[in-house]
Amino acid sequence: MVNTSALKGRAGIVLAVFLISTSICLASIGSDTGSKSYRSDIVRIDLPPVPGGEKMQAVQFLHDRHTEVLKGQKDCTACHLKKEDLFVFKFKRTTDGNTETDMEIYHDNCIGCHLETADTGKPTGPLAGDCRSCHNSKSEAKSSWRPISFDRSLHFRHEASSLIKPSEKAGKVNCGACHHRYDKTAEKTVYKKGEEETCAYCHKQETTKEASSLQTASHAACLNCHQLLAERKEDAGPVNCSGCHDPAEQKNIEVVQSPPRLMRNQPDATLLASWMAWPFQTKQSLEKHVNPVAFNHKVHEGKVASCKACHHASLARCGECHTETGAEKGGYIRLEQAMHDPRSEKSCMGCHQQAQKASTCAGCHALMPEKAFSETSCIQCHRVDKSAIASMPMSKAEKTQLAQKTLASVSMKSMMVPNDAVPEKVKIGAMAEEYEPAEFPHRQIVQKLAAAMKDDRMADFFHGKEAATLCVGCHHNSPATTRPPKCASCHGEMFKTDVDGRPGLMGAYHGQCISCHQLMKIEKPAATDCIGCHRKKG
Amino acid sequence: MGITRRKFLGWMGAATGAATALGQTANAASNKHFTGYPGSFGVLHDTTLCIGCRKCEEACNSVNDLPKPETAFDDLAPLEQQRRPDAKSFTVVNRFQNDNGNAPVFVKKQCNHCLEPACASACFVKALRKIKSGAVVYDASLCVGCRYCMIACPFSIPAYEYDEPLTPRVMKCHMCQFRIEKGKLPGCVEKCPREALTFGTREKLLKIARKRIAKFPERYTDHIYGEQEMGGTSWLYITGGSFAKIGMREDLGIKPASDFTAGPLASVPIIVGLWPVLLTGIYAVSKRKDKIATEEQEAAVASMAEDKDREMETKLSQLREKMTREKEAAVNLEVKKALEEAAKAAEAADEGKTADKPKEDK
Repeated sequence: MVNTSALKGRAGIVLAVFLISTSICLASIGSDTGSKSYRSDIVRIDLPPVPGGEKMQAVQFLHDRHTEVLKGQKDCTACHLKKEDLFVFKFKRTTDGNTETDMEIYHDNCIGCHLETADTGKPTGPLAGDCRSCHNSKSEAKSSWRPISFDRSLHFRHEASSLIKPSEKAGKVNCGACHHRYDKTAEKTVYKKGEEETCAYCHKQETTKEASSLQTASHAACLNCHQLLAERKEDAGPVNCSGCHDPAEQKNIEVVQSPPRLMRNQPDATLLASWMAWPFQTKQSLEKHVNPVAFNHKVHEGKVASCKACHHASLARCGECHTETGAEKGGYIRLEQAMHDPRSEKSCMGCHQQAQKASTCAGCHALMPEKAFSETSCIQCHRVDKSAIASMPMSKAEKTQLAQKTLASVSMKSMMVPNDAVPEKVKIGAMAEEYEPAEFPHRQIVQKLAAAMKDDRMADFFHGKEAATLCVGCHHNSPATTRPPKCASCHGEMFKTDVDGRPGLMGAYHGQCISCHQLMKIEKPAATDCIGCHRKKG
Repeated sequence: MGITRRKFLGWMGAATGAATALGQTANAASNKHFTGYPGSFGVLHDTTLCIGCRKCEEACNSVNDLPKPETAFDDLAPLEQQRRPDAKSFTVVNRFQNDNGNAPVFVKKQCNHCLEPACASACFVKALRKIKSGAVVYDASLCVGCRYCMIACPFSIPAYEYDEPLTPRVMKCHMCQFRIEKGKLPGCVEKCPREALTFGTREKLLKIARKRIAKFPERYTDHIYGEQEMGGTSWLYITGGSFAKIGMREDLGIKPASDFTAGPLASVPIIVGLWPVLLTGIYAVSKRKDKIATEEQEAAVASMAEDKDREMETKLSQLREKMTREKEAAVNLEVKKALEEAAKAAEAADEGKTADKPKEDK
């Protein structure tokens, strides 16, 4: 009789030796790959686990590596099946089955193709038995995948393309080629003119009963069309992952400067105020309401990537979901918050603050503390005079008219302090000890800032009529004046005065100059180049 | 009667248990934890302001008369490496480049001057001490060179003069204690052109840090490193990203090092001071017990002997009484018998002579 315990012992030793040798092998393989590169084509194949079954590690499949290698030999049909003449971008199936059948599809077809290639003597992928070559936690590359923004430029290029034909025979515009709505009664998608919306309004993150996920929908729609045109040797969009999702390749996408407006029945200008939509307004009751904002819809359209920048969930007006007191449909975000939340890029103030981060603005604005809503001036935006409202409710045309009238009254001319009122040079030598006093080219800097603001509508609008507004950029905490107090009026010698968090004079000077240079991306002189600004003594 | 091994161990166990339980109760009941000496100083390092000019390193080197380094301080090349303070430099600035292409972050590294320093708690000769100014200072005259402080420090700060054969010292930042005493700023703080270092009382620095975070919520991560870490440090840090990514340990917890060592170290006085008392006590108790046992035994024996004597006496007296009674009874019986016989004889004589005469004799 065989001694079972001895057998187990021997088996254990064999297993241990095997594990050690395998890990050494794997480690050596791992070290061969070297540094990680960035890829935008990593597809994670991870089937849901079978209850009680063994779960293998997800496979990180590099899509574009496969298409590059197979270029000229195989086409999309090598991996993707067609349904009603359109590719379904799943692997060798049109709908997901259960894990076991899907797993078989992957194993049979991946290994089958690898084997086929191996037979021809070419280098190939892992074969049967090389389980961990695909199922491993080591990732060869880091993901550089970025969502693609189908911005106004890209939209215009599709809209203007003669290759994309109108869906209806008599149609003149090709909107219907992509835009559709789901008709619940007819249980199919139909195109309705004038009701086009952003894909993401219906196609959400995950597939729902009514719409497939945004990824599935956009891949199906975009890639099938691109592939069809590519087959016809027409000017087609990308069909690989990196063409749309690689940050480097996204930069190569042709951009149409100032594309024409997308027309979808929107006003050129309108009045914003929640109470504008309420019924039965009398002249008296208007008194207690805030002044409406005269909103230049047309100008804002040109400043954002797409309608979705503001109309993030639908093209309805903001107050539809964001009610005055908050409602479930608006995620309990009140209209006031939706408009003023400085942290949300969808709100007016949030987007404006985002714009201030541009290097032209950041030099002054990034150094300003985040203002509470109460510290900002309401009248700057809420400037429509209510007495001009003749009757309620106002028609769309009336609103536009009043908004435009108000907007026209705003002076958009940049006010600048005349050159001779700006000191040309300032000698900073209050603390000169180790270094010579620094000579500060004051006027040159003012002119540089003024040039950066030129033709900036937002700056013109918000900086107001006060010419000295620009001075406040550096001479902060001072009223807008051409004769602001000296820095040393507030900043004393460090720690000789009480520590209250404000920098000492040296910290204030260096802080103002260095952070402005860093934020405005002015590289010379470098922050650490002391003698770039002041010569060393002796 | 002697003390058994089993009994001895039992007592020892009970004694240890009681000491431990007592210690814990005392700790819990105190409801206090040390938050630093009031008014002690510290430094706030705002990494968002640091430009990596190495002026602080230079100032530190000069005020502490440290040897001149190989690369001059205006050469910024050493920033490329991750350095730590050593015996020749009490502070270093490290550069951290993010993946996302943001501007690099510079972080100054030096002794953090913990409120309850691990180094001091590990030092058994009190060569390292936390003093009221906030600094953790070193006294070379006490140091025995065990370098436990180097092992204890969670920030890997203390360094050792390995190349000093006769008088090697532990070297680390002392917050320029000698300058603070003269009302001067620590060397690094004084020289920082950007005021990325702020010197002040720890309470005030915490307020300043909170104010900055509140004022620029987008610029700062809402955390003050050193407020709680390792029970709090006198050197505080604020930054814009993750502290872990700028080489600052996030696994330290908020308990001071001394809390971890307090238990075992607290048992030192018990062992050194209390054990002799305890052992003497155990000895005395067992001795006394023996004595009492002997006395009791003697008493018992004595009382037992007494009892026996008394019993015997009773028995004897009873016996004696019985014997007396029996004797009396026998005598009486004999007397009676004799009388009866005498009477019979007299009757018989009377019947032979005259009947009147014996009657008169009666």
